[in-house]
Amino acid sequence: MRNRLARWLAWLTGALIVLLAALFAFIQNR
Amino acid sequence: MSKSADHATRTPRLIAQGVLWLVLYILLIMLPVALLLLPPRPQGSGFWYDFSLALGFAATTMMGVQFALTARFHHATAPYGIDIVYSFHRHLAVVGTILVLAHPIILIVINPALLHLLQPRHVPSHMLAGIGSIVCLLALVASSLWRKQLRLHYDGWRIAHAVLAVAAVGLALLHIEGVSYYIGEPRKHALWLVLVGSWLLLVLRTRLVKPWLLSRWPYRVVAVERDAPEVWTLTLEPDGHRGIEFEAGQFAWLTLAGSPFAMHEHPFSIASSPVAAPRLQFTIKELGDFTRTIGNTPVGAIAYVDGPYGAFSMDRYPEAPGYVLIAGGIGIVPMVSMLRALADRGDQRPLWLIGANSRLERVALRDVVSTLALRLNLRVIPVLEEPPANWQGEVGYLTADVLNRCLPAQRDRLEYFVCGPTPMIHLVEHGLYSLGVPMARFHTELFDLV
Repeated sequence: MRNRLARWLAWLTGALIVLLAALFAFIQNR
Repeated sequence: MSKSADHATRTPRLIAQGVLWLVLYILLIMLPVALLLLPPRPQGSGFWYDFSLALGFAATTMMGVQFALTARFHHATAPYGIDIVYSFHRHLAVVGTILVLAHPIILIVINPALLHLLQPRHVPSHMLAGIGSIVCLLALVASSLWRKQLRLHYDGWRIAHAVLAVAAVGLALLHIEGVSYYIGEPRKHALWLVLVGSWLLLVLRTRLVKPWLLSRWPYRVVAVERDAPEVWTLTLEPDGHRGIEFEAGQFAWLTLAGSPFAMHEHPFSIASSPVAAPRLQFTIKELGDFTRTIGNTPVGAIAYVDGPYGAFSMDRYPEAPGYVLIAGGIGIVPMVSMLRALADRGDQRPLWLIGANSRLERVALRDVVSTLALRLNLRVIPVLEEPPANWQGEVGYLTADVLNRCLPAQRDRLEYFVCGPTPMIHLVEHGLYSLGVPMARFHTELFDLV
């Protein structure tokens, strides 16, 4: 269960980074 | 503070610390993109171009912060158990690699002319660094995910892992320096260098400071005993220092016959009771190249112990009405440490030890468990895959049916500790779940991550 949590947290971190990168690109080009 | 009051405040404190470290980690990962957003910002170069660039920055940071996850900080790993921090490190590496690969792929999709830059005659040095970083990263991830399939020796893999990790991040940093578009502004550049410098400090701490500290606290091997076929128990005593304190069920990285700088360390559960500290015992099964030599360790040999680590201990759940310890093979070792600690404390709560093994003669620490059973309210249930002819006990794998027969009717408030091969852990997890055991009471120790 803990391992699954670690995996989900890792993918969540990745998703957060993608969102942040998109936010950066949006602000940079609005 | 009384012991029970201490325990009552400990769990919420550990949860709060766990959340705090996680938030800190996410903030660290986001820092470089926040840095890019600081004014003054150069002109945008199109959504997809800037998106790809930010991904590259963030993914490099993810890789840099990986050095923090494997630096074995006691305070930061205690809330989760270091096994899960390593597991997080492994999953993050996969996610980070996808993000790293997305960076050039997006750039090439939006501007296929960039492919010309990949021709050897035209490649600027910073692009070469970027390509080199990706190659190192792919080698790093592949060699870790498929070490056994690739038949890589553990010690050699560890050295290659450390070198490739530094090379992957170092080359990525050279690539970013070479492009220098978004961090060209002097103040941003300085902040970026501070961030990068912190990763370098982490590497220095792990590879130089930590081994140097370990070299000042040596242990001596005072006994080497054969316990079962291919199973050995080493007894260690601190040489000129007070040794370590640990919780029953925890583990440590052990270096035998070598310098702590040489990276020849291996993780093993401590088999002895914390009450017997500073004397430490490790019961080790011959499973690989290193462990096959354990029996040849001379008495008097120097050893180094980096630990304790891990959250796999009944001391984390002191209010439980009883404990169920489920072990597969050599997974019995942390259970024996817990049983020894409970016996030393005169604890008479009900205990169940379910031990799965292939054959009876291969059961590790059998005599130790029999002796402990005389001092504890312990029910020992061996489960054998290949039982002897007149065997009356449980046979086969640890399925829900077997567990159902072994466990008491009032089972939902007990705490369950499971250690063994990964397929066994999954089987037990599903079995206990189907028997209505709350998953919050199910505790495992992950080993064999690479």
